[in-house]
Amino acid sequence: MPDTLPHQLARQHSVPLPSLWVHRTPRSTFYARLDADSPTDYSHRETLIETLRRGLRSALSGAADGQGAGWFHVLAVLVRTDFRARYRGQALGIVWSVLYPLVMMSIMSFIFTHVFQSTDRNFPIFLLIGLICWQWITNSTTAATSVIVSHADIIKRTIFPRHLLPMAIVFSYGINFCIEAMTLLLFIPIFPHAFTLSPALLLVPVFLFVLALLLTGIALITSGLNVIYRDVAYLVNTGLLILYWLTPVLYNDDRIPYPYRLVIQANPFSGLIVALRRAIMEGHVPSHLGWAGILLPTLVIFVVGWLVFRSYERMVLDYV
Amino acid sequence: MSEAADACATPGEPTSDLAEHVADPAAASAALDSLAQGSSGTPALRPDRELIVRFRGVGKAFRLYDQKPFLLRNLLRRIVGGRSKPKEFWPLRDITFDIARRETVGVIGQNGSGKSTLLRLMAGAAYPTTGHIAVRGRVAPLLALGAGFQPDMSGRECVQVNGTALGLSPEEIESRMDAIVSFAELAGFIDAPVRYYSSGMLARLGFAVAVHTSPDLLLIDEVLAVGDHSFQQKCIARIHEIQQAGTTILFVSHDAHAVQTLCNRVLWLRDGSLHRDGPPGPIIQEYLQATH
Repeated sequence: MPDTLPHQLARQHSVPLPSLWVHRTPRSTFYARLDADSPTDYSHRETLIETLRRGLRSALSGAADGQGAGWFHVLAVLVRTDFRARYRGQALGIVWSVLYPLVMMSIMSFIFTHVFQSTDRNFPIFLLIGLICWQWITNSTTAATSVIVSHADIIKRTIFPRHLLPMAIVFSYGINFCIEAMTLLLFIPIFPHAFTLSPALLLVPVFLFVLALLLTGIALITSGLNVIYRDVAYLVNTGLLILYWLTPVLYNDDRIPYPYRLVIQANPFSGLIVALRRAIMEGHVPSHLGWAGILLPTLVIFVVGWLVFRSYERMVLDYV
Repeated sequence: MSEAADACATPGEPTSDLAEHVADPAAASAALDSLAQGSSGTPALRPDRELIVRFRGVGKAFRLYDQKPFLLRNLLRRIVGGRSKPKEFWPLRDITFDIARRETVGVIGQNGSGKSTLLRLMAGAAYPTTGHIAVRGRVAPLLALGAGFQPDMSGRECVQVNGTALGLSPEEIESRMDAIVSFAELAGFIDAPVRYYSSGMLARLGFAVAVHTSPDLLLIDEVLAVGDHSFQQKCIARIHEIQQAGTTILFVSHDAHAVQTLCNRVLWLRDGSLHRDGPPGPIIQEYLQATH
């Protein structure tokens, strides 16, 4: 056969096998050398620090234990596939995702200025920022909730890191978000006073990264749970509807009287959207308290999501 | 502890097989252990061979429910009714064996004897209910061909996704693309959406990707029944080449002839337990007598 390239078919004899083994037991999965006959006897299981180091090192270069490609690459392929699949066979493709917030903004602006007699001239921009953020939140959470169920075959038959699937959904809708955000640039000449050029704009990528982290945490929780209880998809839809009105997308949270305002501020999306909007429109940097209100819930949700997904992963594999 | 840290810090450090062996007395002792159990049908493993898979008392149970166990109805039943525990189904019980590097192991057994569960456990696509599994190196599970193929994707994209899921890096996929396409005999169609492919074309593409990964451990689950006779011959020839190159292979098949020609060791699973383990000749003969 002319295409036979034996050196490509298999790793050479001379390549040593990794010294770290993957150990799977009913209770845990861990990396260690093979130095005992019982999983309870392992003197040097990997510590948390070592796990994190291995994870970081394997991001680009391929896993240290020889298992698979670097997870960063896997994530990139999943994001690209999901993004392309969404617009395949459509004439307008990505235009749809830009059109939706613009139409929504026009309707809402009309209602608020002409029906409710709002006097804020920059209201359309205020709305648009909130709406494209919310579109990212709601689309990625809805899609990520069902991603494990809809990718059952790839989950059961290959061994790539499964938590990357919900993550990929969040990032592929992140691409949508970025494209939609470009429309904001078109509005700069129309609403010049709605934008403030200030160092606070440098914080925008930080807010977006935090939002992605928050969405990933939520996606990890809902995607795993959805395998076990298919009700979760409905619960998520209802929850998002409630959250939509508890998040200052259509209104400004300054207007809400105090005891109720706390309810709105308890919602981690509120802090992020308000901070993002104020950074763009007013050049305002959040206070220490504001930062804490954004970062703490995000970290908690991300860590909880990670742990929930890890503990459900075993069950998910049997029930998906 | 420091030893583990060192191992973690320099995982790819090139060491010769011999040095690896000397540095890892555990492998030798494990191999000696299985030498000691030779009486129960475990083949005498030479202690100088590097291990790649180790199963110790592995069992897998699935709970049998009419519906999912967590639904409200079932939860209530468990709390209110105080019923006994749900019935369990054990496709595998108390499996113990070692596989050394460069072995080609055939797994035979009748339907429902736990062959596929064994492979899924080895691949990490299922977790054990009892026991302890240790695996190292890159594992390529061919549990089903073409995982991750979506009808709207082009053949090329499918190769990229499937190859990634099987553990190839982007450079590896790029450099093997031509070989994969020509192996699958799909030269004119690779950029067409796979929805237009015939089932045979899809299977060929899936198999082509799978045999162009370069794993340390290749798990093959009854996938050779794809394509026409000549393509099957091509697959067998390719598996031979992979074997020659030094890859460890676990091969599940009903085809006793294929197992006999490819494998140098056979595991016979019967009702979820390891019935026989040893060289293929006598075991396959016994198997054929028992099943016919």
